[in-house]
Amino acid sequence: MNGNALRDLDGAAFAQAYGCSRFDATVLGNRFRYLLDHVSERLLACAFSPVLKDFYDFAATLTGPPHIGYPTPVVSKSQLAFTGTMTESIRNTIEEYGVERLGAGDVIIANDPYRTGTHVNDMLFIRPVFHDGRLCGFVNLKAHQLDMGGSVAGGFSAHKFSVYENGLVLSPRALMKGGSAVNESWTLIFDNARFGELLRLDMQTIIACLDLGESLLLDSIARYGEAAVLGAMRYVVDADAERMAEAIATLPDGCWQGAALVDCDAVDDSEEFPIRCTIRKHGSRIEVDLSGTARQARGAINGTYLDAKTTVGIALKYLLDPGGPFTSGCYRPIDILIPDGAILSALPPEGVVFAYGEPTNALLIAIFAALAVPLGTRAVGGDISAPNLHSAVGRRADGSPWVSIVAGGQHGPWGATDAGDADSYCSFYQVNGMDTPIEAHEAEIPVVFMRRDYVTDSPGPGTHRGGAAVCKDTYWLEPVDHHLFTLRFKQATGIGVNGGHDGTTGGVWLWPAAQPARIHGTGEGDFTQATGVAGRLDPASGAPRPNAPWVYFGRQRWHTEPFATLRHMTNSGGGWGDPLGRSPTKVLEDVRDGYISIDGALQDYGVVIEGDAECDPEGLTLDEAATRAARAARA
Amino acid sequence: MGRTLFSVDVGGTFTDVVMVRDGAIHVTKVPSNAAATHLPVIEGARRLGVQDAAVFNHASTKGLNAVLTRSLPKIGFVTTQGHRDMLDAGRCMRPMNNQTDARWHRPFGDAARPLVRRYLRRGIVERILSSGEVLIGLDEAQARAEFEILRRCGVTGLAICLINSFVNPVHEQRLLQLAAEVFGARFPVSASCQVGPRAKEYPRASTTVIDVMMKLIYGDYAQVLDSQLQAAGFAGQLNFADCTAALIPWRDAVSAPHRILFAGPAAGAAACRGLGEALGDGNLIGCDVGGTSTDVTVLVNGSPFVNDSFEIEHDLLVNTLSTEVASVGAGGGSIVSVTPSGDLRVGPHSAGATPGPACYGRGGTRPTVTDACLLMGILDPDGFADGQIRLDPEAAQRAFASLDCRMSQAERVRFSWKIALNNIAEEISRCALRHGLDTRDFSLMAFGAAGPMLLAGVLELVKARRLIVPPHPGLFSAIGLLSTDFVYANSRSQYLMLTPDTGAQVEAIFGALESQLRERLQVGSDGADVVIRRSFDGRLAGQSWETPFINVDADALAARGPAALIEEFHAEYARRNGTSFAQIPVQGVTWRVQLIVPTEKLSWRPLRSGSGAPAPVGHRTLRHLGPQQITAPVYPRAILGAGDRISGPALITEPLATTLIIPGQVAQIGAVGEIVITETP
Amino acid sequence: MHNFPRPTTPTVSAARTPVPGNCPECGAQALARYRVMSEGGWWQVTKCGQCLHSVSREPGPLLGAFVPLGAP
Repeated sequence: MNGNALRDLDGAAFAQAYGCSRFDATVLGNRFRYLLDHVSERLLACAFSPVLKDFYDFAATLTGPPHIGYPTPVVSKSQLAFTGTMTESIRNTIEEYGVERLGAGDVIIANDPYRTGTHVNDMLFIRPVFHDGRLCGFVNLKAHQLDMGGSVAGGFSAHKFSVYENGLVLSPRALMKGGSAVNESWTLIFDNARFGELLRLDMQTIIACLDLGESLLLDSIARYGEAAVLGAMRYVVDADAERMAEAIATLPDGCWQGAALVDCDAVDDSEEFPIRCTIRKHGSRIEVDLSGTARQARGAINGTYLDAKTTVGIALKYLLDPGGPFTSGCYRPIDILIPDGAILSALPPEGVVFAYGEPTNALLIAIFAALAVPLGTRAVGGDISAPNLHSAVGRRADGSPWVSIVAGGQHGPWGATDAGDADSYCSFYQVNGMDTPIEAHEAEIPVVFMRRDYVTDSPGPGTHRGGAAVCKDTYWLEPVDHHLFTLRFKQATGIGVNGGHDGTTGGVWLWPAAQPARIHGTGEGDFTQATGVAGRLDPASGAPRPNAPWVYFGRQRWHTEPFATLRHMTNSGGGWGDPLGRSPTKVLEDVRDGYISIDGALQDYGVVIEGDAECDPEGLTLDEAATRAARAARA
Repeated sequence: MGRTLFSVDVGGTFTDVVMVRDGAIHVTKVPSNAAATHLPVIEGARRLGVQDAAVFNHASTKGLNAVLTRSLPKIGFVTTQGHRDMLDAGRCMRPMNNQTDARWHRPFGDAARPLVRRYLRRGIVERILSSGEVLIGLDEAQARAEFEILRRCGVTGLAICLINSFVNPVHEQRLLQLAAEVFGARFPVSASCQVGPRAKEYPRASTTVIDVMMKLIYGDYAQVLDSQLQAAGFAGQLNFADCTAALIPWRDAVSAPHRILFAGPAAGAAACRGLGEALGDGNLIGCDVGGTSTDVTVLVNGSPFVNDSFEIEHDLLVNTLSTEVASVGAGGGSIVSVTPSGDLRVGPHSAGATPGPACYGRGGTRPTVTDACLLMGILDPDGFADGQIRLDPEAAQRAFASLDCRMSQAERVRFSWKIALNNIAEEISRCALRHGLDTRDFSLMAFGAAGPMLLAGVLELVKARRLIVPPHPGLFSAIGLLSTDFVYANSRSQYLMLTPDTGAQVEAIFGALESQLRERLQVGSDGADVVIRRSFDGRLAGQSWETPFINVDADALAARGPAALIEEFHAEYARRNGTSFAQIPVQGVTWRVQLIVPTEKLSWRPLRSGSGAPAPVGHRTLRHLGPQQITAPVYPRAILGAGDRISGPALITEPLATTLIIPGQVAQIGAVGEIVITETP
Repeated sequence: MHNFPRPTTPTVSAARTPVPGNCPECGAQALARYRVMSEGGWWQVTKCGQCLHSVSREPGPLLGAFVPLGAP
């Protein structure tokens, strides 16, 4: 590609290529974005489901018609994990359903992960848009439904071993025809899924949102003409392709490898699941080869080729083009080799897809690791990189069940970058959501959050340090069955970059029932009374330690009596840049703030600090001479 | 004739002062002074003559700016041990626009610019359950030791927020006593149980932190302002406006000052409501187009949407009632740039007040929307901002010429203008759609310095009923401060599933809130002019967010019990969102009582009648509006009378604003002097 | 659903079939034919391993290796 090819088009050449003026293309590009904003706003305002409102677990896209190759010029600013799947899933669904069968007012649905990516709860809704009898595009929503049937309510379980347990699989079919409900499709869903009444209301809302999107698209066509609208779709996609190609071109040519690990599956600890990528780059082209990646796992922790594709796109956006749009065009300079039957390209019936976030998180880190070398100072440290799912189940005095899903290690640190130290409390890189307030949760569930704070000396050391590990202690007032799966404790996920050091690995512990309640410490000696549930744990102290034996969470069922304490400690974020390059004053501030201990300052940063950080934080002093000596000794 | 009323809106660039005397509106603009905010206020008061004023209503961005620039006092924060990092974590979410940006930091996080450094956030050994039961008793010795550490660090204020203190405040109350012993009785302390006992620890804690900081920032300021106003001869009541533009006597305001953080945009909405009442039009979309952004507020039947919290920066929350205002980065100073693909983009960056648009000649070299308006002929180089700034068309030309793209100069100017209009139009549509509303049912109200020159172009895009340019559009927000009442509020959270047998509990909660309020204000239950308003924030069972301000009719509650509340909840939910889930149970979360004391307001005076067809005083050439340049007559607003009709293209000028009427539109001067622009059918 | 057995090897790799000839762009003797996921879904490509130039790109099967039993 020749540099700024699109930029160099003059008015006539632009009109020739895209059937509209550059100005109309610009305005229409904005209108496409706003169209999806409006559709998203409507969904957020009107849907019942907290999954949509708090986790934005939906995405809206606009797709061009088949004769221009189903381009996706715009995706909504919501669930990233859906974005890359949607171009293919619209095409796959429409082609299988039959373009010739489409009519105005239809809504076509599908949710099969092998056809549409992500998991069965994520239903894809497609509205074909007709103008003067011609199909001129699609307005689409993919939205997480509260339930889609299967053996586990809500679906989140690693213990589903074939697609027949996973939930209702819908191949492409009509939910609406010509504006009228196709009853057999609705009843098929309600007869197989839980919470049908809520699903119905949310699905009706989704259809209303598609109506809105359609009317806005038709407004644009009425105002600017169909040719201009389709031309603008192609232009926006071409512009994004060019932008990504230019971003790729900034890397040196070469071949790099990266790897990350899914520790095990939910069956046993006999097999680990490495995710490997080889990245070849030449000019403005890049190839990501997932060869050498583990085969599909037993149980529902697999993803599909569309999830792999999405993750590659997200990773490259993070590393090369963070501010840019995310259209189908960004994949033009990217080729991805995906072997069949891998944990990231599972196939039916045994390759059950649900918790696809486990392998996709690992893939993201593998790509970050591979490109850390050529990126140099632009590299990004690794994050918490795991959902660390935990659900606690119990019964109230009246026998009614309760479920808590927020006492695990869902939130944690990011990695450092050239822009500075990292935040410590985030969703992992690929998702974005709202945390549940402790007080709101305690009002509903017999649990007490005794601690939700950061672990000293955990941030991956660097000129800029990674985010700290999060320690979450929950004290349970009633008997509880704990269902957890933690698949990312064997290796540091918070990889250090540009000379920065890796972060720490976390773990899970249980303290037996004890009264009165007390707040457990997080120091080396504070774990002796606890049972190590998961993580690399020192056999003597029980504390987390790199290279200590790894403990498998799935070796038994975890049940606790009232007044037991559960601890989830996350991995920490990776550092950026040589720790010896961090200014001693910053290290002093970190010691004062409790991110680093006095010992850690010396060990990780070669900075000598004296005083009592806890009781006299402003009385800490930096021994500059000793620091110079300590740093010189390591240089 | 009523009493003389004064109001002042302290903005970043100008301090707007409005006086109503004998029913006539007088205005002045004084340049703001960030170092001594009160001086321009006093200057404005002297200019217009404050001695006979009955009230002086004040809104400022002082508190907000202190937070935004982190010019904040050093305070300590104490919370339940194990939870000090809640102030770093916030609600966890990051902005949707920064989803793939690892360089984005939470703006108030420890890795960026925390309000309270981590070492000044201390844990106290204690724990209260959601039931209110004490799980771990308060360790007073440990608490004292932590206070001593903070005292040695030289903190100047203290914020206290313990987990579940909204259910049982006993530990916070004891910590208040201990703090008085350690720091002294006059030391500024805010405890969350007093600031606002609302559920959800993070927003309550951040509110408490902001509250004590505002005590330190506003306490002295209000004192100084009051005494200097008195020195200028003022003998009336000084009031501060809150984030809904409701008025609070200044001493009350500075006792819970998180409420008065940011009143300007709410005052704009109040001004819309006031003028709307005079015009008999309650369905309004207010568009305040300033230098950096357009603030949009939607009013339905005369009421703006009110939220239960205010977001200072991304996720930096203050629990206070606030008028819903959406802001889009499109204003007069929005910068025009070129994308890597060669397309024009307008905003979100702004040239601000300094250097300002290129045509200000103050060092700005990048073209802005104002530069486009100048080159289009909408703005008069010599008549901008009451002649205080002379605009330089050459500089504007150079700025557009410097853009690196393959477009003619004319295209650059025309497209910039149109893109700016599109951005504003889309934001207006979004605000309406968010509440399930249709812009065709609304009138646009154009104010702010740039509103009257831009909104006529937007009218066509959003298909609103009409566009109204109020009198004094450049100071309209300050006028809004003369359109509101005194409001005293009390609230608390208690999770309560509404069932037929919870009526007594609901009544008890409201009764307690109301008697606390009456006690505090020493208002008897016979106060004839006092309006008591009860409401609650509720949610559908299973939802994690609340729908605020479900109106509670005391009589209906007494007669029909919680069923009345449930019904009202579903109706309000439908009003806000356009959908209803009437079969799902409703849970009450936060309970509110407001005590409203009506006060004298601005009443709009009828404008003398005009001739119907006024004569222009000159003509100006408008370029780039269409393919051909056109000649537009110019009318000074001062010569227009009610009933005058002007067909577009035309310009109506006044000292601080220019109203553009584009071809195909008709402007009519309304009864109180408002300009009403409609599309010719 | 067709029956796709779990692979018997712990890891799996994408197949690349070497193709004789030289790359028209860089001249290297490094052409291979394989399946990739890119803009527009699956493609069967012949590419140069040196400069990543695509000699040919043909659309691949819509769903990759997955062929629904009832698909038309």
